[in-house]
This record gives sequence, structure tokens and C-alpha cells, in this order.
Amino acid sequence: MEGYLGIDVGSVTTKLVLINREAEVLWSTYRKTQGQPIRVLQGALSDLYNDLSPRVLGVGATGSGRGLVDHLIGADVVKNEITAHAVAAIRHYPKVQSVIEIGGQDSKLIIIRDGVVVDFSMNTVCAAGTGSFLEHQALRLGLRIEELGSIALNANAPVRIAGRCTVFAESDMIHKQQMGHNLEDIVAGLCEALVRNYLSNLARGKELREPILFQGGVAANRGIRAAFERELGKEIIVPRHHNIMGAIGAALLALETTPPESRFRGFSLARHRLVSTSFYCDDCPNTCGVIEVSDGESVIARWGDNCGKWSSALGS
Amino acid sequence: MKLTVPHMGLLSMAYTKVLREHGVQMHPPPRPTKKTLNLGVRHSPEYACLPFKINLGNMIEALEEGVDSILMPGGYGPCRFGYYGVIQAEILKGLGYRFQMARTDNPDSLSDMIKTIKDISDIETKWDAYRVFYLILIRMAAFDKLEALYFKTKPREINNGETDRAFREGLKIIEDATSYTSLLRAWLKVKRIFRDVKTDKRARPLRIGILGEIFVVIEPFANMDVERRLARMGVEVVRGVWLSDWLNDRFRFKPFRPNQNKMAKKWAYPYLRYPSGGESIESVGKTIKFYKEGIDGVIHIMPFTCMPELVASTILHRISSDLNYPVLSLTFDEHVSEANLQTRLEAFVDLLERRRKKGGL
Repeated sequence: MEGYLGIDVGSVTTKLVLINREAEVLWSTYRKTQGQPIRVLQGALSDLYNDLSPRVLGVGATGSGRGLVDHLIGADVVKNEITAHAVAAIRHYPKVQSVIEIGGQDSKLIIIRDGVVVDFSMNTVCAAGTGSFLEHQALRLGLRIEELGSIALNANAPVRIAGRCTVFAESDMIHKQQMGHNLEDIVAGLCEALVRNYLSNLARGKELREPILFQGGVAANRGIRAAFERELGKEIIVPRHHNIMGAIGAALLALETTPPESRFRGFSLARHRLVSTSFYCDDCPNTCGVIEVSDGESVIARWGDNCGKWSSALGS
Repeated sequence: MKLTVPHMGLLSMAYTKVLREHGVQMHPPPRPTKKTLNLGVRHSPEYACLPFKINLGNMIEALEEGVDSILMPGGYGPCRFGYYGVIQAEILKGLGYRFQMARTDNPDSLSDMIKTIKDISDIETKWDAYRVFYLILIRMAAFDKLEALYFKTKPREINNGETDRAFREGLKIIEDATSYTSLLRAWLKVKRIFRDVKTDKRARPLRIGILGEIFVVIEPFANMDVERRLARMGVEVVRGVWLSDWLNDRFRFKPFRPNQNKMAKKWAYPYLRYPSGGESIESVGKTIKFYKEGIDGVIHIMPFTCMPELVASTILHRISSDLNYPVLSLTFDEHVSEANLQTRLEAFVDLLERRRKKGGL
């Protein structure tokens, strides 16, 4: 078996997919990063090897940890999440015109016309509405994150919650609970507040034309999807692979470039003892944080310095 | 008297050496770093803009190094900038520093500039002061041309790093040329050095226009080095605002360069009919110009809380949808996350690339 590997290391979750030349998903995994991207990556790679032991023809990396993947595993394509999500969306739904993507810590809106990205935006000020915030609220209400969506769908009269800021949203929710509103209405109100926040932060001045895809981990929440549909008055499509679309996009980009020889360092990497450490360089007032990954005794990768003196000291 | 002027791009390189030769004890502050920013943020009003904070941090750093005089441009200014010198002086006094602050009350007035130069240096005649002032202006133009040369060469270079080396060498050569004749020789030398950089003559890199508030555009520390990030991605940066143009609009030293502000007013006409402060009219006018010239897209940069550029950015949004022309707006302050910036730049470059492949423009 052979295929192209797509890796998406996000802030909260890590996604790996293997696709064949026809762009069909052969294998995929979706797991928590838990602040230990290296260990999680190693685990996912060894699982893939145990399941299929495929020959890897190319590797695409994306997500906020794309640099890490490139340094550790060797990637043929390193692309930002916006492009990766757009590529996957266009491949699966060639007519798509808008993509809403909400992940663990950030959210994006991608506007597509005739199969080309023409505009995009990304949250820069507020994390309300992202997966981390929802998870935190679920925990506070004593619910599992998976339950939030279906509970919201059972609401009769969603409560209006101030959603401009995560902290105020939380205190407003507590207030509404203490006034005696029921759980369903509060959860539904939360979903609506987050959708309003998303639209006013990211969609201002942009036209969301159908078909609209909803991707990322939060798309699993049916309450949020319903709130989007109510607010926009349009149909929202949640793709089957919504939570791994970024990784699929990365794999597709690797497939698109078809490297003659992949830079992939091999599955044996999963068995190595990789340790990452960091230090602050005091040689100039920029005090860059330098990250170092070592395999046993030897340093295999280093990055984070502005001037490049630490990363280039390793050679290549 | 030990004199300092806060940094703004390469400006200090244009005057420091020349003024030193005329008896001024110039002591430029260190190049802005995170330390500068932290100092500035700690002592500035929260809603002051990023240039204010970097200036203030720079002044504190220079005072700590024993400077006793600060020169800060000011006057009726293009925006809140006109008051910066006054407010910064008050803040620094409150922190217990003892110093003199000189301000040019009317930055557009040539006689004011000449008077300032005569006051701080051992130059005696007015004629000599003019000669020195225009030398500084032409040096600034040479530094700007050097940067433009860098932006043109970098995306076409074959051996990674060769252009950066040529640029650093060029800086040194121009800095050391402190007379009109040596400056001319220096420039010819710089051109030779860049001619020797091996480039791919057939490369057609993406071209992105950079516009916006002048300080954040020309000070790489303020914009997290946006231009060089793009250059490293293989993009040809076409900067639309230059300090030497701003100076030329006021003091006319480049005889063949038309007044940029007036030109921009003409280009901007359908969307903005009069200057609304800062570089707003140039941001609007030159976006339209870049579109007509076939530049692939525009990145508009401004400091957070910058009123004039906020006006421009709203208009750019309209232009972008009217002309179907990609414009990315970036706002900078001390809270900007590097990962977020990098992702947006990469996505914008991808957008332009895929658009070009489809025959977008």
C-alpha cells in the first residue's frame, strides 16, 4: 500500500490522514495534542505503521505546528491552514463558495469563487466561539463537549447571551443560570452568541454565498450549525471528514506536487526518544526563544531564532 | 550636548555621520527591539499608537545611555503625531529624566530645518547649512534606492543569502560617503555589487504593493519585518511609501520625481477627494495605481488606533470589491501574534499565486 500523508498539528488536536492517488482517504486519526505534539505525532505514526505499513510518497504539513512537523518528520509541502482547508473543500465540493472553519483556538472564513480563494479572514482579537472555549463551558456545566450540540437543539427559547468577549460571555451565562433559565436554552443561547461573534468579527463586509461548508472540530456541534443556519438563513453543509479537512488538504497539496523522492524520514522515527527543550538566547535584546529537539544525544532540529545563528549552526 | 533622534527606518543612517562631521555629538538609540517596545508600552497611554510607543522606548534607551538632548519632529503634524514630542517630553520628565527636547515646530518649513541644523552644529553660514541638509536628503534617497534594489533582486536570486550580503555591504558604502562626490561614487559601486548578484533573469515573481502609515511601513521592527518575510517567500515587494518621497514632496531635491501626494490625490479621486490625514490619500490613490500597473495585490499596514489609515482601509475594502483586486489589511500593535501574521501572509501569497495561474488579472 502507498499514499500521501497529510499532517495537521493544531493547537488542540493533531490530525493525520493517508490518501491514495485518487485522493480517497485510506486512514485517518484525530487526537488531542495535549501540549505534547512530538509524542502525539510519534504515536499516530506508529499506529499508522501498525495498521497499514504504507509506502509514503509525499508528506504535506499544515496547522500551527507545521514547522515542527517539517523539522521532525520531513515534509515535502508546508502550507498554512487557510490554503489547506480551501484545497480540501474545493476538491470535495467543486462548487463551494464559502468555508467556515472553526478549530481549537482560532476561526477562519474563506471566500471562494470559481474554485479560487479570493478573500479570507482570521480571528485576531477574540477566541470566543473556538473549540477551547466551548470545551471550557461544557466542563463548567458538567457536560461532555459532544453533548453540547444535541442539548442546544432541544431548546425552546434560546437565552440572549453577551458574546462580544469570552470572559463576559461566561459571566453572563452564570447570571442567566442564576436567574433560573434551563440548561437547554442557555446552551442554545451560547451557540447563538458565538455565531454572532464569529460573523461580526470575520464576516464583516464579506458575502457568504452558498454552498457554505462548515469545517473544523466545532462543526461536529449541531447547535452551532443550526445557529449559523438561523442567523444566515442559508443551508450549512458539514462535510463527512469535517474535522480532518486541513490534513486532507495538506495531503492533497503533497499529491499535487508529487515529489520525485519524499523528504519523509520514515516510520522508524516513532521509536526514537525525541526530546524538545528551549532556551532564551541572550546575545541581543530580542531574546528569541530557541527550540531544540534532540534524538538521544544529538540535536536534530532547532528553530525560533530571528537571526538564524542557532538554526544555521546545525547545518542541514 | 549629546543628541539623539528616535529611529525611523534607515533615517538615522542618513544624518548621523554627516552631522558628526560638523561637530554634533550624535548618539543614535539602539535599533528598536522587544526591550524598546516593552519600555515604550509600560510608559505610554494604552491607546497611543505603536510608533508613539516605539519612539518613547527608544528615547528611554538613549537617555539611559547618557544622552541629554532629544530631537523630535512635530508641529501641526499629519495626525496625532504632531503632539507626540510634547507628550513624550512630559512622560520622560515624570520618570525623572533630565534632558532638553528640541522640536521642529513646522516640519514642512525649509527655513525651520536650516535653522535647526545651524543651532545644533558648528556650521556658521546659511549656505553651508543648506549644503549639509540637501546632502542628508540625497543620502536618504540613496538608502531608499538601495532597499528598492534589494526588493527587486531578492526574489530572483539564485544563491540564497547573496542579496542580503549585497544589501549589508551597500548600507556601509553609502553610510561612509559623506560628500556629494563620494556619494555619487558610492552609488555606482552599490550598483556594481548588485549587478554581480546572480539572478534568474526569466523569473516572474508575484508582485505585492505595500502601502499604509509611513512609520510602520518603513520600520521593519514595527511591522514584524513583513517586507522581508514576503521577499523570503519569493515575492517582489513594491513599496509605495518612501521617506525620501515624503521629504521630496516638501523640499524638492529630486528634480524628476513628481510630488507623490499630489499624484495620489489624482489617482484617488473617484474614492477620496481630499487628504484625510496621515498617508490615507496615498494608500487609496496608490492602490488604484498598483491595480492599473498589474501589481498582483496590495498589503495595507497600519498601527492599531490609527484614524487616518482606518479611513483608508474602509475605502480600500470598497475598491477591492469594485475592481476585484486582492487587498490584505494588517494592523500592528504590541499584541500581534507572529504565528497569526505568518499564516495570513502565506495564505495571501497562495491566493495570489492560484489567482495568477487561473489568469486572474
